[in-house]
Amino acid sequence: MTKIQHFLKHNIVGVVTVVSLFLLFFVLPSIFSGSDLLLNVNRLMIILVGLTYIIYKYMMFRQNYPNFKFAESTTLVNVLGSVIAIVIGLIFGLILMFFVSPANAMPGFFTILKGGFNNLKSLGNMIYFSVPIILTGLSVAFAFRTGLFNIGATGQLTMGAFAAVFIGVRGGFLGDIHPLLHWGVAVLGAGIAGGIWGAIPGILKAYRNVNEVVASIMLNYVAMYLNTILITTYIYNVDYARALDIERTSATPTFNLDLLFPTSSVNGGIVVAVIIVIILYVILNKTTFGYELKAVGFNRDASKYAGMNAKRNIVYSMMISGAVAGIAGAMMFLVVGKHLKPENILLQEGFTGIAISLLGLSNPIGVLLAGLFYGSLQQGGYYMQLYDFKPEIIDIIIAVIIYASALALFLQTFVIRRLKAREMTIDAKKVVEQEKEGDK
Amino acid sequence: MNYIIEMLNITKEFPGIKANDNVTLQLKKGEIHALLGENGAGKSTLMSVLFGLYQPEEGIIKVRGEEVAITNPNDANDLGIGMVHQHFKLVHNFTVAENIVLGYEDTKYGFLEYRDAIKKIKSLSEQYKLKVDVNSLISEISVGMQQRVEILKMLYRDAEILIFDEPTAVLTPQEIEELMHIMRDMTKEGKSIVLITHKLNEIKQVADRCSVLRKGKYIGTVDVANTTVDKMAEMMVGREVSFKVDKEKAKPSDVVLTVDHLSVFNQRINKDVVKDVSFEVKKGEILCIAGIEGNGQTQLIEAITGLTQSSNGRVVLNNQDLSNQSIRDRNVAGVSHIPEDRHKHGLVLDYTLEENLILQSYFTEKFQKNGFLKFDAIHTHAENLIDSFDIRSGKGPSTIARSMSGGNQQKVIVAREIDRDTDLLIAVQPTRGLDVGAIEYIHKQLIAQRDAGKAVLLISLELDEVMNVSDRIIVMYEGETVGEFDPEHVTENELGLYMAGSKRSDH
Amino acid sequence: MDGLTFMEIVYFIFPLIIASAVPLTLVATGALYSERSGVVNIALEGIMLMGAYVGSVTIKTLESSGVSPLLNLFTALIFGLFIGYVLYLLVQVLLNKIGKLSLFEHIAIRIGSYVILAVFSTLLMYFVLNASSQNVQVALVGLLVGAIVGIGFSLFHAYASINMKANQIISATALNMFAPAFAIFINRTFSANGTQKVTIQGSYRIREVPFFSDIPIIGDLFFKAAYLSTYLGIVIFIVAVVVLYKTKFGLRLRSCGENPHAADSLGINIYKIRYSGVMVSGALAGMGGVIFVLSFAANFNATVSGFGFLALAVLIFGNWKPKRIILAALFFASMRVIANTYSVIPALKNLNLDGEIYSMLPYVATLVVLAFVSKNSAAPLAAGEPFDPGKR
Repeated sequence: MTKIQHFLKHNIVGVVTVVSLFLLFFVLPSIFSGSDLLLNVNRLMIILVGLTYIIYKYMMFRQNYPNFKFAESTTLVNVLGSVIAIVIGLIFGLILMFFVSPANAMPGFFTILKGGFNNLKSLGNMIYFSVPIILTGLSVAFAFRTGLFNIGATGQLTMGAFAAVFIGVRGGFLGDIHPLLHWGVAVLGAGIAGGIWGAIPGILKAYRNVNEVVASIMLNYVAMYLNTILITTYIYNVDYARALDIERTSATPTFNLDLLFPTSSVNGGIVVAVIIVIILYVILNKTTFGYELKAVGFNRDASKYAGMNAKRNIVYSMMISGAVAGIAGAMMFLVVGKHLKPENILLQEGFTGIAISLLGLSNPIGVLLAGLFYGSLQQGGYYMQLYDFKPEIIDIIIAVIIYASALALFLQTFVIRRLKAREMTIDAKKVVEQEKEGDK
Repeated sequence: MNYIIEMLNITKEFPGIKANDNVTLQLKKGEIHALLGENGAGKSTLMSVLFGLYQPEEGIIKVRGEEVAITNPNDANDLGIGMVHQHFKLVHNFTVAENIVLGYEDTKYGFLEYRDAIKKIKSLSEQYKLKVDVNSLISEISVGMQQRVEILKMLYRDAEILIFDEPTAVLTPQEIEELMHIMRDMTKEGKSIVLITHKLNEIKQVADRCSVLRKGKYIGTVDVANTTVDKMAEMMVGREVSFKVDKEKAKPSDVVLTVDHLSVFNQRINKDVVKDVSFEVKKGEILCIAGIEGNGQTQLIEAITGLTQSSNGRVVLNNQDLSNQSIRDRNVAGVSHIPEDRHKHGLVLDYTLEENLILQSYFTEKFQKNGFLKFDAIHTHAENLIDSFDIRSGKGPSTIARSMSGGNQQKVIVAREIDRDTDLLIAVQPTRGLDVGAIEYIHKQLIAQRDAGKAVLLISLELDEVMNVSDRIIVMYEGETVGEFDPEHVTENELGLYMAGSKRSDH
Repeated sequence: MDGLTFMEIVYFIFPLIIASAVPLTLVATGALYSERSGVVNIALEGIMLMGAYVGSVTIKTLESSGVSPLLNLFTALIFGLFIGYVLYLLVQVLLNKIGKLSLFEHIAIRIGSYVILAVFSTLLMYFVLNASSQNVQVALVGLLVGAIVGIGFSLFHAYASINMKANQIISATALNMFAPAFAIFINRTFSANGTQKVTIQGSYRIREVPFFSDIPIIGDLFFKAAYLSTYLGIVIFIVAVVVLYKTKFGLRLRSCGENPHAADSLGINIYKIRYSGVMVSGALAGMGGVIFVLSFAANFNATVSGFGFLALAVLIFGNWKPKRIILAALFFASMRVIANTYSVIPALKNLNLDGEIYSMLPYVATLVVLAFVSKNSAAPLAAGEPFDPGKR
């Protein structure tokens, strides 16, 4: 096998993803700018990527485990759990819609299902709205994979948002620089602010053994009030009771995506999200750093025994998680026409991230898909207003989905139990075989 | 019919395994009946069935000649059955009295009332010489007293039939002696006792009859007075067992590990848990540190491996002072460590077998490059070790460690640590909770390592293991070394006296 | 208002602090029950919101339709059973002093005294209710509905965390997300003008309590411009604490949060106890939600302003102990009140700080406590861990 073949074999998912995204975002727009054909091409691309992934996975799988039984794979059972949870959530939504307005229930429901795939504009909006959710989902998922529950994504997001907007508004100190750089600095600032805010519960957990859930909840409120103070002190637009407008140079560039999805709000945030998905995926699955982080998460004592610095890893993990949430804040507010407000309200995106992380099985690629799914639902909710349904039904559906997926986690214990039983029979069989051989 | 309890043809299945397969146990009134079997033989399951924690698929239970259905611990209590659990079931921030009455409370007009309860506890504690302080919190009293609380809990409920689950594991020889007296006093009062154990000497010492289980199956019941320890051992294991391990005489050469006046201070209890310990381990010998659980062995090893900071003294490996090095530096310098608790320290249970096998070496050139893991190398490594150490698993290298059996999990750790090929191998209770086959395997591995010129430091609580495997024995008592022995020239009884602190040699 | 004297400020602020502290204490006590039984309940925010929503809809409806005598009787019955129980406990304490009784007397007195006291309290309550203003009737029904809704909603958390051994944080997060979405969706769908607000007309403040308000200082502090819910809250708190620390149920509940395996081995039904713990927390949180609406907002706007999470902070700051919970609730309530009123307090106004600083203080204080006192924490050991009988 040549090196290239080898590389392809082990990284096919990454390669396919990168190539398709490249096609999707850079090549296609220049070929068909603005035609309706595009929507279908887009759908096709998404289906294609999905199918390739599934077929590849299946082939790898059959090759590795010829004697595989479905109920003995934790991953597959978890995916099934997510699907069941989604179905339960949707059915609950349907019932509620029947209850509210029987005549409109079915068409309304199909609108939800159709979601963002209504037209090019909705597809663009779906991508736009899913970006912060994907990022907070990644933030929660990354912490979760390393054994930490980051319920503080909303606080980190708030701090990141303030840092980004501050740099966006007061970018003058950077001098006369390239716009992309101004934006870059703002995003970086958001990452740093979120990272610091995330590191606090990490430090408390590592060095003072404070439960990170409780600490994060407290920090959410501290961030909320601090944000109000900071806005009113440094970047306040008194007339509109909101933060000042950001400079255009600091707004998220569109990377030509607006050509692909005309009249939608889409911007380059999705590119940032995809890059972060790839980075986190690589960190978690391919590096010694990820190996350490996961080991610390699964079993802190064993990681210490193996000579890993458990405390430092906990802080790093929370810091990275916080940074990603902070960048989510930047993506939300580095948009011309959007403003941070000193309202003392927790931004819900942080909590939605928990749902998305759960639904995406804490796997970066899964989170990407789950985040897009959420964006699609949200667009569905938007279009559903045509049938006189209030868009909050989407949040209800999402809440039910989380609840159902929390219940679905028990499937996993069930699988482990089955696996253990199987291991024991295998062990017993081998003993018998060996005894027989001994007799000969 | 003079049986107070009969468990007839009990079968209890768990997914994939028959924990009890047609087991029968008959307990006479006023006897001490030992239930003997290896780890995993099904003793605990059988007693859990009797205590109402599990429901059997087949079989019947008769108490005082009448068939009964025991569906929860309350039923067992009502029938006068009580269990003294191996891992004490006490609420740490409740007082002794609260723990004893819990679930069986006296109330007066809706409020808890302790006056009568305390009176009863005091009289029971006098009658059976079970000294406790009713008002202390559980977290403040000794392990021995905690066990007395457990026993009082049962007596308080007027239990006639008491089940003791491995009661001696955490006790000193004196406390064991005391417990045996208490058990005999109880039978004199007409109570009947089931003693679950795998320690043959204790059975010989105290029990009247003994039922043996092996791999979930009922093997038989014998009168203890008319049988030998060897016979019972054979019944337990299924073949003749020689507790002697075959090995050549040790040929110690250079010193590998020097522990020099090492002390460990515990802030929580404000005293030294390891006091001024010094010894050497040489290439080609197995040095065993013997002692009763909780006499500082754990902390001593933690101080050597770096898991705990020592307060005084030095740890020197091959002339390199490790005292202030990190755990990682010590591991790299040449310390392999089979830890005491394989689930807590030894394995990341949610990692696969291959990932667990690189736990101590994932950062080396062999398995990573520029921070990226080399998956092919990891896979090959795992396949090699699975082969050479006969680790059995369903999915090979990608089996999740959690789903493996205890013996195979321990093999994973042993394989990983031995494969690192360091000068010093530390093994802390490497055979705990394993069946005899696995124990023999591990003993063989340790001796092979010694013969390959490694220095082996073994910590064991089991006197048999201490006597059979080691070349040199050091006894620890309350954090100090109280004597050094050659296993050829010392008896178990002699060692026992040192372990209990009633004898010490100043050397 | 610069000219306010110190006492005037105290008279102005004190009732506000008490009004905040009561729902905080109640909800924190609910959380105490839940955690002591072994279930971490961070769904308090959602449960409060749900209770507040249904409670305020009920109140709004009753305000226009009036309270029927039958509903009054029902309210009287529920409260009568509760008050009867309180009186019953008191009578038992007195009887305790008399001395030994035969078994028959014992049982007769227990059942008899409870039935008599419950009937007596119900009737008394019924007459009081009929005699009192419509607002009192409405408020009591509202509180009751809040508690019932709270219990119902908390059952979802109980089922997930007790039966399904789900991650308790996730299940609670789901409830916290569900409650506001549900309230807004239903209210916007069914309200005439599509608003998410539920506006309550009446004022539920008691101008003064007859007789007691004449007591100097104390009368001014406690018995003027107070809420009915304040007194109710104080009684419920005392009963809750007595039950937790002095009764069989309380002892068993606390053992389940520390070492469920010990409790299980003694035949205590962990599932039942944990369900009770969560349901108590649901009832108190639901009622707390209604109190929140009645005492602060005068309308329900799909939020309880983080009171549920603040109550969690109260619990932690109070180190899971009732006396300290009260102190923590008073401290947190003071900070909240000061955040809104600091501009009328000269000493604080001169400090020239943002109101948010005071709002932030409770959370920061809790973090500090967590960081420096967590070694001596009295948090229940098994809280948050599903009970698995096989794992011993």
